[in-house]
Amino acid sequence: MTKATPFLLGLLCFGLLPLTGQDYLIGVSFTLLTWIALTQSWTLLSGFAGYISLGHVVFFGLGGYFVVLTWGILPYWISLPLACLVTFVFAIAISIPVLRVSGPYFVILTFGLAEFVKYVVMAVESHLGQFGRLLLGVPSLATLYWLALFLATLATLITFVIRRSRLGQGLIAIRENEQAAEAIGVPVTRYKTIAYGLSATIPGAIGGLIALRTSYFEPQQIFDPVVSFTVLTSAIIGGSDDVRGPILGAAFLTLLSELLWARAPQLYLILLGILLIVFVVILPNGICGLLRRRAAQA
Amino acid sequence: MTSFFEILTSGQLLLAALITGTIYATVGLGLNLVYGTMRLLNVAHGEFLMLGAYVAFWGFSLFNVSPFLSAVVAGVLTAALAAALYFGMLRWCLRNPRMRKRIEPNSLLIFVGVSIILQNISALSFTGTPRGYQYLSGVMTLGSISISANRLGAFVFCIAICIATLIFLRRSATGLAIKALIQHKEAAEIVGVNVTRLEFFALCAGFATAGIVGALVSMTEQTTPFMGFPFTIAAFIVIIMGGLGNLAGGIVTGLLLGFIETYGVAFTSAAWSSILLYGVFVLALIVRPEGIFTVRQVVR
Amino acid sequence: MSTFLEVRHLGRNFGGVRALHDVNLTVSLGEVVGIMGANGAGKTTLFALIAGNLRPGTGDILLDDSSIVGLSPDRICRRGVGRTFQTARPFGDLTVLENIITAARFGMHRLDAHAAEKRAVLLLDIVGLGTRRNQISGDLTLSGQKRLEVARAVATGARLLLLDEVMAGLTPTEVAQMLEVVQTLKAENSLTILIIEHVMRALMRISDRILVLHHGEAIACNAPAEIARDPRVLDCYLGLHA
Repeated sequence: MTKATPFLLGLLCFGLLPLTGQDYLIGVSFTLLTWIALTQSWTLLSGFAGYISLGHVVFFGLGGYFVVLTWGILPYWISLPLACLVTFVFAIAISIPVLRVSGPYFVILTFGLAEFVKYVVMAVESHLGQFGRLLLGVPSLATLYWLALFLATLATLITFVIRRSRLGQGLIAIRENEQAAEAIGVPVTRYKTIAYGLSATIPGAIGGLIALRTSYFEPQQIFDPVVSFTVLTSAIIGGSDDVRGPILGAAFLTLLSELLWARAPQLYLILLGILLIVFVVILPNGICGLLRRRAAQA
Repeated sequence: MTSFFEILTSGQLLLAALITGTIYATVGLGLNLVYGTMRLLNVAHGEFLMLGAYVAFWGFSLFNVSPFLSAVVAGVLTAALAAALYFGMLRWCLRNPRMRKRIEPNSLLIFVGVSIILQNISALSFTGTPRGYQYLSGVMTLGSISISANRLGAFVFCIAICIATLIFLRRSATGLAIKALIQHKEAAEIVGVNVTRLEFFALCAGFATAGIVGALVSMTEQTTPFMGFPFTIAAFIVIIMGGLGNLAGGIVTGLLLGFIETYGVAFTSAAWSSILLYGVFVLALIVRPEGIFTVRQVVR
Repeated sequence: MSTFLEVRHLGRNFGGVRALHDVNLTVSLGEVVGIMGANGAGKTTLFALIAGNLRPGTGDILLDDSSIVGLSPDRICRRGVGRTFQTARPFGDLTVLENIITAARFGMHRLDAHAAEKRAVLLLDIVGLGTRRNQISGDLTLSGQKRLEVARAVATGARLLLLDEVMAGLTPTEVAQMLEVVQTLKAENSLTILIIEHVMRALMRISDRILVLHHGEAIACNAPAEIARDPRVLDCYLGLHA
């Protein structure tokens, strides 16, 4: 059980945090937990199957929009799980055409799709006469924090379980060589669709959580492509072959963001861009990959 | 509310569509050159356009230089930036066998990074305030059609670029070599084409086109650090639907895209321009990743 | 001997090119049928059609008396067809062992993790990659990768093995090695084999019958000795009567 110890310790730390009453710390941890959840879910398709998505924000945004639309009608403990269902169904619905495209085209397709949905939602909101919505009576930070902790843990568990399952092995085979994977009996279409659907689920709730946290909704904000970019960079820096990677990546970026964002958000993004390039060129398997290689050589 | 018929027969709209289409075609041309020769998916193409726009803006605001002249300067500067990228990083990537295998997906991610960096350097240096200026904004009228002189100038300039490029590719020795390179790299190498030098030339030329168009566009569009995205998307639609590496097909597609957007917005509203653009983009990728105009198999 | 694979009037065009035309073939259980022909004769197209990567324009393909036309490649694999590719396609970042384990976990038998590993070790020993178990498959030599391809196809539990130029690029020693590997695998796993080869010696040695394709048509299908004497074959290959 030694491998699980750091996770359990981390879980304990996160769990005890709200008791400190330090709102700033809780807020930062909340942000960290949401990024962990987003990056872990991203890994399911993009890390394991190699279908790198630059449009993960679309699930985040749609989930958030759903929660915002049903605010006041449904309590959060119903609308959040429903948001997950909505994004899951959406992903499955579009999976047939979307997953036919592979490689770099998939990357830009996901980006284009997210932007498309963003502009549609903007048009809908504009048509409804809404230019930014205020949410009243949102849950407390502590409540949102616990939910975020739950979702981050769940996302990590799901990634962990799938990594070891036949589904995970099949997805990895697809990443390595899709045609060969098909030739050895991996049901590629089915597996990719499952991974895509699963990767969409938790981000739906996370989107709802963020909307509730900021108590404000604006399509440009919640469908911001920088979110997709951050998740992707997070996964590449941390490494996406096992569950530690997304956590490391998310932690690193949250730390960086806390240091820089308030003073110079552009500097933060410039740094992110540089890091992305550096890691893609030199360390494509991320920090975790580096650690694994060091361990293998030792 | 103008009627359906009036929209269809409006000479004004036709001209607008032609101009937008030509601009898209020229932007796509640049991307096609880069992708066709080096298989680099430059998602930062729009950002190079943005840099060109800023060159023209500052050129005019600070030194009263005509944007048409700035366009040339912009082209040189973006080409220089391309060269810097090439020598600083890309050449190493292309030489490394492990990276070369995965050059397409990797180049995409690298250029995503470049795109973010350029956007934010601009935002940091110039702030996000939209910039505009007046140059040659006098309106010229011909019958029922009126157009501002600067837009007409941009139109003519872009047409010139497209025609010049097509002639160059068809007539000159270097142009033929580039076409050969696009169609079959190894074969071109064997017949003595200096592939490395031509790739570099195509890279610089492609990026330069973006810079030039950016300078031209700055006369009529607002210049912001984030103006590049739609042009990148348009460029990608052009190369995907026009056939990768098919420069002539790309020009036709660019024009088509201009028509779709202009008439689409006329029938609906301005808010729909982005929906249309991204919608066409998504459709193009899903329906024909190989390109509608691809006749020959581009062998790699 | 019972019929295992039957190809009836198989045809496939690519635009204006007739890649295959009216090809008929009956393969009995346990047979080794060699396939030869010039480049572009339609050999790999035939494999692609059987393995499900392409759909036939005309004709039918029956495996164990039921048609497999229209099934996806992974479903055809689960019916018992394993194939190698002309250019080796290992799961490059995985180790040699992991490549085989993955194949054993999918395919026809779908073994669980433990059984898959045992089978993988066994197969790797047969093909001579036992000592390279933990090597990254992308780093193998050509000969190693080719043997890995074969082992991986067999690991799926295949009963019909499609070997696409597994000897290409190998030295004479490696060719002999591969021949031995294929024959051992065949014996231990009761395989029926279709093998495309340009290395004539190997093809003649291992095949019970040879199918000769020329411009998409089957011009002969006979025992190796007959093929070597067949005037049509000699005509196409040596241009004797042209």
